[in-house]
Amino acid sequence: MRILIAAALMLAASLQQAHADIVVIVSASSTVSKLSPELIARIYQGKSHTLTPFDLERGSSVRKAFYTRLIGQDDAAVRTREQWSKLVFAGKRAAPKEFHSAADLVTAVAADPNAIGYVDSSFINLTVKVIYTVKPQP
Amino acid sequence: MSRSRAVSAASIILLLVLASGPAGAAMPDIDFSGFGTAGFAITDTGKAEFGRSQSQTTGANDQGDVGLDSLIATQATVHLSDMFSATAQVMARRFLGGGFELQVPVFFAKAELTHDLSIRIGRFQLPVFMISDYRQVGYSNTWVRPPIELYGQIPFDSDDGADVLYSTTVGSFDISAQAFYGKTDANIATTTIQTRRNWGANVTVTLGPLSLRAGRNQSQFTSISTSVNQLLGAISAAGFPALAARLAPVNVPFAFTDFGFSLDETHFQLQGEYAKQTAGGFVASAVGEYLLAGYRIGKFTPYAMFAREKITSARTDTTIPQIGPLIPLALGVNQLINSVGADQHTSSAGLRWDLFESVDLKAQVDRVSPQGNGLFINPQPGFQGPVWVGSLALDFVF
Repeated sequence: MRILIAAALMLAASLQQAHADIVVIVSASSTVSKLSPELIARIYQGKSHTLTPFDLERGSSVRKAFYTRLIGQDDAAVRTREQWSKLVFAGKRAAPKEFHSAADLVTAVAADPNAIGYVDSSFINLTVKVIYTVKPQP
Repeated sequence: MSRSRAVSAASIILLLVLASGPAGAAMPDIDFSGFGTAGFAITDTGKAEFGRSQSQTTGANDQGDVGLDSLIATQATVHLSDMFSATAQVMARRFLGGGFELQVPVFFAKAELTHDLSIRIGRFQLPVFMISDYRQVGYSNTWVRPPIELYGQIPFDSDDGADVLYSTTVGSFDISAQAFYGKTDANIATTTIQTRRNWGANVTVTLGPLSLRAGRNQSQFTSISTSVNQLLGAISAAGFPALAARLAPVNVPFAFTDFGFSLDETHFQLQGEYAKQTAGGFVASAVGEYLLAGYRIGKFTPYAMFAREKITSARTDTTIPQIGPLIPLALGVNQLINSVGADQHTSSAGLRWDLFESVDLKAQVDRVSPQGNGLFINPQPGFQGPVWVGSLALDFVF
């Protein structure tokens, strides 16, 4: 019986993995509880400075999916890089800090009330809160 | 490169902050980044050279030129704490002489007073134009180079002083504002030019794909060169001291007002800017403007641009009559008041190809129509426009 439950749980987990949502998170201590996808996109494009964006490293499939779905353009990565280059070389803003691991990103977001991040929904815990869920494309 | 008080102040603040850090603390966070362009430009004339800015004294002609647009810059930011950071940018590019020169266009200490408000002390880009901050970053721009008809109007890239940066989001509007105070120094060919009490402010409002920017800059402007001083002395000695005093560019008022917009849709892109410059002394007053339209199709962005500069102050002075021995002096005066800025317009067409996430390749053709010598460098007798310019540029960021 126990083996069956474990198998069912594993199956459920793998199904969840395959259809995992990307969630946008802030620290549990943040005063922000909900943000529109438009504002999140503006934050990640460097247009709005409401929160400090944290990124997953380049090459991450979650990152690619996040930008493509949120900004809704095939060339989202190029356009975003272009935008941040303007701010970085103006000496006005630092480019989003990049994290190799989703767990580290969650820890960093939890520690900074001004930060915003995104991860695969399987990585979240009680130190952060979800303010938006990026649905997989049909 | 002169060391200004502001830059010294930035160094001292940096040292103090470094020294005040706890002994044995972990290495501070350092961000490294950079940008560059490998360019080639060629024109269809051997009788004048096409320059990218007023601070170049050699340019491209019909022999081709790899130095016009090529540059490389690297930038480091040291994050000392959540509040303090220091940034330095080092750039190698053609400047003044024909060769490459190493410059430090950016060197400042920054304090983030709140999440929205920060202050910088040191050297930063003089923010007179809409894209002053990143005009050398080819990758961040659609064109190969900023139109000289507008971006050539101010010979300074950097300001030594302090500025305040503020940004906020109000509903659908993203607003950023900047106010600065400082001074600039530049040596162009045999002329030393400087501004003092150089202050200004600008505000950018972004709503969806549309951004609007307005900026103002005022200063006291001085331009010193032996040849100009000799001419002014001769004018005075010939019995026209009032004219000499009026033409002397010493602590004369300088003002610059700039309006810009950009519309950045998924495919369609439109960007324009209009600037009005008023200056004292012999320096001409002018307006400059451009309009750029592009259309992104996947990795390709074909674009077209029109730019022009128009001198708005008098192009001739009749104070000294053109008679007998006074003729050379009268001609000298008219040459002087035409020595800065010119009537010129350029039509351009080009193609940007985004090769990778951080690399693009551009090809651009310009048809430059100067009035007289326009903004061309080293014109030879018989030079006549219009001039065709062909350019290739590989831009990258890292």
